[in-house]
Amino acid sequence: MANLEENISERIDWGEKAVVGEKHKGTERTADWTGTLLNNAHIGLPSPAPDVVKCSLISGECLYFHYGCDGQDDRGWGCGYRTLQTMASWLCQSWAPPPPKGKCRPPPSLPEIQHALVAMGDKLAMFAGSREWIGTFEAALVLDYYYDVPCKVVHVRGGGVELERAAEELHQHFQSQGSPVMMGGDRDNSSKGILGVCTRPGGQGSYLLVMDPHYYGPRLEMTSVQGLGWVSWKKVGSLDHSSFYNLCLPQTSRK
Amino acid sequence: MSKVTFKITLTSDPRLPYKVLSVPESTPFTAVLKFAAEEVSSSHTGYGIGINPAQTAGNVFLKHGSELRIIPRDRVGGRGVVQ
Repeated sequence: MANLEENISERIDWGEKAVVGEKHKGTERTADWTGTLLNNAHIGLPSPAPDVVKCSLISGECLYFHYGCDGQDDRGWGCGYRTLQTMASWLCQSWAPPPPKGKCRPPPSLPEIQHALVAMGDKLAMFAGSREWIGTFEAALVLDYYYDVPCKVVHVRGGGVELERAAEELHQHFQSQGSPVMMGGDRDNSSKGILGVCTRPGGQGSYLLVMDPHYYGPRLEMTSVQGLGWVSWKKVGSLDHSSFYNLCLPQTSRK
Repeated sequence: MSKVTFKITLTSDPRLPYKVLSVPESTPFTAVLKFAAEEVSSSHTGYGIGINPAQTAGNVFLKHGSELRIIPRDRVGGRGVVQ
């Protein structure tokens, strides 16, 4: 297929053989290549403030998916797909009861994500092979398609008060469900993986533990990922108050 | 024939307008989406519920419950705030 050939021609050579597999094609997928990705990139990150009174984090483990991490150069369009892949990695590694070893469906590739959306009728056929953006809506559809996991999509209308209310919703999610969350917006068109939330006392606001999928480069170790801010605590107040946001919250506790 | 009831809310409107719809559980969920589009969000393009339409209303009720939320779609791929 022409689209898959384009993907191969855009394969990135980081100069590290361990990063790019020799057979990277959209439809040839094994779970092995994901062993090159950083697991639990948030572990050891210090608390965002000394007076945090409530902190809720993901349970279990997830992988750090980012631009180009599988050899496909998706800079400028793939960040939503990458956050979706991080969520899928959590389902694969941490969703209780755990699937038999080796039986977990690995996170879908970018072509596989597009295929699912076309198969469900959410996108036209020309979407496959494109560089079209997706969002939390599509992430919810794809997680249901490949993992039979429903998602709750919460709309945050924008503004400081609404964003702080969303922080409380996130506390409840991490305590009851435990899975990573995808956050997308309109004016703020940067996908964010949310791995935790902390709140300070007396209305001083909350922080989100953000996994940023926009990193592009060779594999980094955890100290660099954290030190360079690719996984970091962000003040809720620093988000764009004129943007709406949607949160995709996988509902796994029903299973 | 058993029926399922959905409360469909337009979450982008601060007034949270909603409609209640009861359908036989075998009803294709596409019919529920059509109702939602016409009755609740007729003036809102780019909105949806975020549930795979290729299933029955009964299946959606079992997986997602009775509270359905119509949301405006987000699109992410860029690097930050649109000026």
